[in-house]
Amino acid sequence: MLKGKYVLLSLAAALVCWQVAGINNANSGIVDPCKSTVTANAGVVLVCPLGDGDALTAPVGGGNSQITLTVKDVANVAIAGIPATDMWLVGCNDGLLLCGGSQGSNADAATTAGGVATFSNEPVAGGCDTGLYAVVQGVIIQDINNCQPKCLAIAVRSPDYKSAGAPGPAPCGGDTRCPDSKVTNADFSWFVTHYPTTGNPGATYLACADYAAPLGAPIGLADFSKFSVHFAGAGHKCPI
Amino acid sequence: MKKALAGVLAVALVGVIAGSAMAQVPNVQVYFDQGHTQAQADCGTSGTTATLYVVMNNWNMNVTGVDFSISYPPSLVWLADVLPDPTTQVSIGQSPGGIAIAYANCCFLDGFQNNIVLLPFVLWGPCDCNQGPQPLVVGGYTPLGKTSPTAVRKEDFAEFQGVGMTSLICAGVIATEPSTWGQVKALYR
Repeated sequence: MLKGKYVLLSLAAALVCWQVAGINNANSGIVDPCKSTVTANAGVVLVCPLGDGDALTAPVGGGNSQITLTVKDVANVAIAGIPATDMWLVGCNDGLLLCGGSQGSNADAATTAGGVATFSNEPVAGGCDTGLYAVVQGVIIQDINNCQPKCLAIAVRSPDYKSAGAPGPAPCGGDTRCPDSKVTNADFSWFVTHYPTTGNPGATYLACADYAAPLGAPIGLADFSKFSVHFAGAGHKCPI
Repeated sequence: MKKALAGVLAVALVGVIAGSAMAQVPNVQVYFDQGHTQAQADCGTSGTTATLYVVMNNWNMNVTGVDFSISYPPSLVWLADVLPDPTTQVSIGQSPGGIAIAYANCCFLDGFQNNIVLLPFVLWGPCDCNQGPQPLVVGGYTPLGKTSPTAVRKEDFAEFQGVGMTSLICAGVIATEPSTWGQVKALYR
């Protein structure tokens, strides 16, 4: 009889231990993109293949578009220690050409004990996109409300919009986007088509060519000046 | 006679003061010499070419872009715009209708000095100083609806407006007509 009680108590203790251990087991360390969150204020930044664009902390026209990411697993437990190199940004419409791949837009540092990481720097990239996705270990962070990819309203615009041809991508016409990680005459020629001149007073406005405040039509001297910082002289290019 | 002389002196003094005040504001002016000291000139020989010097004066900031237009008198035929350093400067448009010039990151303009920003290449046409002075006027970048020159500050890409100055060909010849001091005073009543 006494032996039976010990057996019962042992089983109960084992059950408690199993339950406690079970909680730990649920912390899988595998990113759950629907339980993770990513937030930022809307903004516009110029990015450059050389990496000397506008920081996310200093977008065009003021404000702060620093991105805050909180990574959680399926049990809604924060995941600490994810390396910065495992977190990066991409364009929501695949409109960016990152310099050096994902390392062109890594997080500032590894996730904290609370699973938090920030992105303070703009992607080192060419191209143009209307928003940014945060990616963790290859998974796009989703909107916690509907589990759909969360596109942050940070417009990203580069003076590298066109390709000069080989060894880069084939050149493309009109406003078709084909960045080649360097700011060249091809980009300048494209920019000029959106700059009002006596020969083209009604130049069409394109947001991708609008780099400086005040944002909105028409493209103006401040936009041209900012473009030229990355073009005139030796055009900026991805150093990798 | 003394009154007339005093009136002429007063008008001259006002002109000097106005000119001095204008010289202190950010402006863009065309000069006829590389040292940018001559904003007035006599007629050149018809059929010969010349270089003009467009200078930004008194902007007192680091400049990474500037735009303006130039209205040339009939005696000067515009041929081309030349940038002082095309390896670090780019332009859009042409000075008669409006030109925008921007600078590489390495080589922005030190606007605390007065810099030559453009070298228009012109041809002298028929020119007769007996017909009076001919203005060479700096205006705004008209395709963007500007009426005055503007420049962009390097640090924050903020745009500032300056004054477009007028240079003169045949400045020493001023058309006159006989009048009386009373008629002159009547203009200001």
